[in-house]
Amino acid sequence: MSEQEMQSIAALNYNDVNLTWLYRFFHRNHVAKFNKVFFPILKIVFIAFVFFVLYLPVILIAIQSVNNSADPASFGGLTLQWYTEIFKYRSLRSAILDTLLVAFLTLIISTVLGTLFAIGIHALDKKKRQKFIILNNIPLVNAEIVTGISLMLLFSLLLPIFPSVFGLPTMLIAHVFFTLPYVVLSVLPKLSELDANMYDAAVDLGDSPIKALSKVIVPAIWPGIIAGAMLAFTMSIDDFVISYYTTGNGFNNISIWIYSSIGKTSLKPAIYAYSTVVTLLASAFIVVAILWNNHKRKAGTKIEK
Amino acid sequence: MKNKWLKQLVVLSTIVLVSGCKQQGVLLVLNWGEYINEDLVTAFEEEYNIRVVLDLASSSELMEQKIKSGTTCYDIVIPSDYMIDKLYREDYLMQIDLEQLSNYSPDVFLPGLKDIQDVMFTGNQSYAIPYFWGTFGLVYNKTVPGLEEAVKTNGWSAIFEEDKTPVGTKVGMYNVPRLSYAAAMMYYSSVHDGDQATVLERYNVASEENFGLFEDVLRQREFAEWGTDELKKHISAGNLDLAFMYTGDFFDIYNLRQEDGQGMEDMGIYIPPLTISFFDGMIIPKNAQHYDLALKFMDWFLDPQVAFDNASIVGYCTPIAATYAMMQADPAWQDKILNYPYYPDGSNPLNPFVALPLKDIGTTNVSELATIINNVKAS
Amino acid sequence: MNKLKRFSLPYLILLLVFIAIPMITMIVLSFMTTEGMHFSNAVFTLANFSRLTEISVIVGLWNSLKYATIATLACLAIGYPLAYIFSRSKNKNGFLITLLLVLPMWSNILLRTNALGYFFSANNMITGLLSQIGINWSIDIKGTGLSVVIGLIMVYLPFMILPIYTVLDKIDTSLYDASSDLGGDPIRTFKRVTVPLSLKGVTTGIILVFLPCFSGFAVPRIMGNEKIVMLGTIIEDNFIYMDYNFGSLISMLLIFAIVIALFVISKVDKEGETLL
Repeated sequence: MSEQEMQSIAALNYNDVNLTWLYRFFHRNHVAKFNKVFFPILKIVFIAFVFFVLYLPVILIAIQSVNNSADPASFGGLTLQWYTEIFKYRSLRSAILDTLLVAFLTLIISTVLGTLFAIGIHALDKKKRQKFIILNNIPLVNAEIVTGISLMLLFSLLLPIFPSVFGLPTMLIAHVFFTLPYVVLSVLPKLSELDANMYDAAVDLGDSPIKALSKVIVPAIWPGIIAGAMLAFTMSIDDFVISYYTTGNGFNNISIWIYSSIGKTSLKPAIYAYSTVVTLLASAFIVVAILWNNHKRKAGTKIEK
Repeated sequence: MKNKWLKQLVVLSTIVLVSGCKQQGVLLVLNWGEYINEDLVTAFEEEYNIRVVLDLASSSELMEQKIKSGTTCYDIVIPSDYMIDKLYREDYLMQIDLEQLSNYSPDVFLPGLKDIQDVMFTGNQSYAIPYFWGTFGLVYNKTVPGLEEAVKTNGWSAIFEEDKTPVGTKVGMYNVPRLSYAAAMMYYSSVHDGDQATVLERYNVASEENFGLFEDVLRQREFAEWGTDELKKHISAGNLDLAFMYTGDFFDIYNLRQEDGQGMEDMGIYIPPLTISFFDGMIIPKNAQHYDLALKFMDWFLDPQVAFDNASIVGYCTPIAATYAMMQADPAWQDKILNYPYYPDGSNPLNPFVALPLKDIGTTNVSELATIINNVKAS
Repeated sequence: MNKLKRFSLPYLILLLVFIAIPMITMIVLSFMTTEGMHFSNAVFTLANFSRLTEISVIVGLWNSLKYATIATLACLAIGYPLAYIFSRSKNKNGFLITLLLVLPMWSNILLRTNALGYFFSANNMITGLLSQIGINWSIDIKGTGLSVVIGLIMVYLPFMILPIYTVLDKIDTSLYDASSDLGGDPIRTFKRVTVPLSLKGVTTGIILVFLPCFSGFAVPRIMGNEKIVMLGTIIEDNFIYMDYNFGSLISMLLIFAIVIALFVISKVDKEGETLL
């Protein structure tokens, strides 16, 4: 290139020119047709690759759940025996039941409290609300191990008064504590979409505040509450680190049970069967949810017409 | 609305009150993983109409932490001898009323156990009931050419010195500070020092010099992995070639394979001439809430037949003399007893050894060992 | 609506108590030597601070930074294009996409990591099956930093995709039309329109992935064969071996990193909209 050409190029926005040149190169006719075929294939391959990365372990677990050999290192033929053994071993059985117990209790408590708190936060003025949201986010971004240890230390301070507080009570409180921010963050956006006057109108028209809440606000933010509830349940059911540090006395959740038996022969293959069952149930739920969603959409468009 | 809140409050408080330590008729047991025959526990539950909750811990140190942190109130914990010694001296143990144990008598246990009990505090027999005992051994992958001879010729050196094993051998190290320290000191002594007395001085005593040696020994080799129970599984799968572990771990795999109808052609065990001995004992922590139930549990496992059924699932050696006699008479046990170092007494001419018990070296020292290990792992 | 403000008060108290008291406890513990939580023999000391220069802490910090950064960047490189493809596809269903990305999280993280660990060992189910048909192939990388990073990506990728997708989805498609009408090619549109608008989601995604990778211990322990030292494993070890003091001190290090992250979030996303 001559000095002159180089100077004129430098006078333009260097990056833009380069990228535009790149784009023009790809957009030339004979390349364009190739692109029409190439890029969609690339997209599909890419999506497939990502889902492979995400789902490979889940598939491996599913294979192990039908593996005749208890040792995941070798495949010994197909069997369904592990599915019958899910509730056979006492430690696994109680771990599953305890996990579900805590998850359901957390779901209820966290959703109710979280919704109320979100309503409270929404009612604050802007500056206070933003500061509150920062405070709300602390448990979310805090390292799990720090939250777990913090709570353990906090509950330990209670030991002189309540010597047997560790176990279900502490784990439940811990779970509610770390799921509340999720519920709050799910409900808040829905609240901001709400018409603030509706509540005041209801109260003016004679409804008690509680009735106004449940009849006016709650139905309007219902999707947010549901999303928050689902999140609270999901985070609780699979939690490990925080539960690990806030439990006691044989009250275990599944993650703790797995961590204590991982790599050892006491990791019964039944846990793989349990995990696959959960995955299948969740998939069934997804299918149902999609079908219901589609049905709703079709119904919606019909009404609009 | 008010009624709803009230109901929820009642439900919650019931849950809170009912859970935890004060539950009626519930025995809380803290044990190692895969260290009990769960059918026997169910039988115990049915016999005495008690519910048993089994909790898992993967090391004596973890058991210690759970007892000391105050977050738990287990009725029975089953730590190793050196930890029992420590917990006693730090006043965490409740005395066991031996009169109430119908299956107990001063000579209910095999004679070899005395060697370990004598090293512990006086009167330990009424604080801890031996549950399983054994030694440590070198477990290796037989299919790696040259490894078997290397292990049998070199003992501990095969673990700690890189040139004593075939090139590319994957060696694992035990991830419990007290045990890796003991093994390292045992290795150092058998190579550098002469007599048994010096060995005991090294591996039961914490000192600046020993810590320095510990770090140097660990740095001699790049270990393929660190672990506890995973080591035996990985050797069984062929992902690891050599590691030292509880002898009972080897027999855990033996039992599992026997169930599947397979043998132990690819795995072998060798006890070095000088090794670590131990027993795990049932103790009752001071804050246990169900003392009498705990005694019943201990008594249950002192019954020779129950102990036999327990030892048929768990690979470790039973401490009960009558049970061992049953094994010696049972044809199904001959392979284990004759061809393998099942019995923790070095008198079997196939693999003679001397086993030394461990002593506790204090929390701060163990913590320092853990730091040394992390430093070695980091570099 | 203003009367409802009082509902936020209990939450404020709860948050302050549950965050402030433990933090104060940890600060106090860092300056002492105690036996666990028993303060009877407590001695004031600065010895814990001198241990910060130990090689395990330095290497642990470096490893945590290194692996967390690599994993985050990889998640970004994979997650952003994927979120973009999803947001621009014609027959998209946000609900379905979210559920599909979240479904693996319903399998326990430890179980998934363990399964992946087996996959990365020399002998496992798959290699066994393959050798039966004569193929000798295995990925033997368990115990290396690479396997730790891959494990982290496997676990945290959805946390990167979802926030970015949420934000990209909200971009008004007419903006794209406007851009091309004004003569911009796709690449320029991307640079000038998409990227700035998606910044909120990218920041959220980076923080949601980086922080757990930086502070976690389960995945590094399993995938690293317990050989790889990271801040999270050091903290866990210290709490097992009853050294609450040093453990608290290192936890403070983590909290410091998190405070920085919070500060960044608060600047970029004031109404907390993209954290979900």
